[in-house]
Amino acid sequence: MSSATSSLATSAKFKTFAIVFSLTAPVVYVLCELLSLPLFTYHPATNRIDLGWAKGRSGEGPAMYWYGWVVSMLIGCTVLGWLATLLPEGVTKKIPLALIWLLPILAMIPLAWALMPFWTKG
Amino acid sequence: MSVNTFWTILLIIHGLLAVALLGALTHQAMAVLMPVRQAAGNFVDRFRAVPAAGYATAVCILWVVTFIMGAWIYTKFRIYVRIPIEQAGYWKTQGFFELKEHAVTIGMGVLPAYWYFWKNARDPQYDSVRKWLTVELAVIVWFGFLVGHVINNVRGFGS
Repeated sequence: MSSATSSLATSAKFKTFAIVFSLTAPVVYVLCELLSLPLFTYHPATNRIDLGWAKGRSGEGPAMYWYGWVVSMLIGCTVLGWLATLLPEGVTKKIPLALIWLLPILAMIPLAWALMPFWTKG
Repeated sequence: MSVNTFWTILLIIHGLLAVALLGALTHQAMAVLMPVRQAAGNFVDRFRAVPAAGYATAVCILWVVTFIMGAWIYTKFRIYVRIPIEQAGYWKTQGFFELKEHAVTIGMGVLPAYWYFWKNARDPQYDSVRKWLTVELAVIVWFGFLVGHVINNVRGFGS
């Protein structure tokens, strides 16, 4: 392991950041999707970007929100992870680590539910 | 080079990166689910006898690069592939592709913890979370790979 990797792997602050980032990622992503909170909307046919959520315009092709959700998640979780590093170390020790793999599974339930039109059409 | 050829090449690169990611995570998941206790003998033993901790950084890099390639070609998919798929009535197929987007994004979100736990693989307090997180990421990649293939092929060869 290189010295930079080794120092990151042994850093208590990085541990806190990584755990909180990964715990909050599924939650933030689901909230962004269900509450329509993309950071921006991309219109591929016209190469236009709108801030926040924007409807597709008639005759201008579809609107894409996925990019905005992804960026919202990355920024939101980075901020939350950083804020967690400011807390006393003992706080993150209380977080059950199993949540890190459990929350992604649970997150898929509302996401699959939100896709109901695809399961029921045709 | 035609525009179609350019985007097809990008799709193939995305697929090849996904295959590399699939291989790395599957080896690692097998190693963590069925760790070898003695010198490896048959094919299954050798498949799971990999130095799993060394795969973690490669998995993270491959995941992010594969994700970026997928995000790049997604702009064309949305207009030139998804609309014809919906017009042909393949709603459930498209629904699974939507799920793939969600799954791989959430998978990317847990990579920091995944990397940390593998770089501290000697610490027994992380054994359980490391195992199940690795298996979960492997399942996500297999899901994404299979869904991607089906959506690529659903309209038939050459379409």
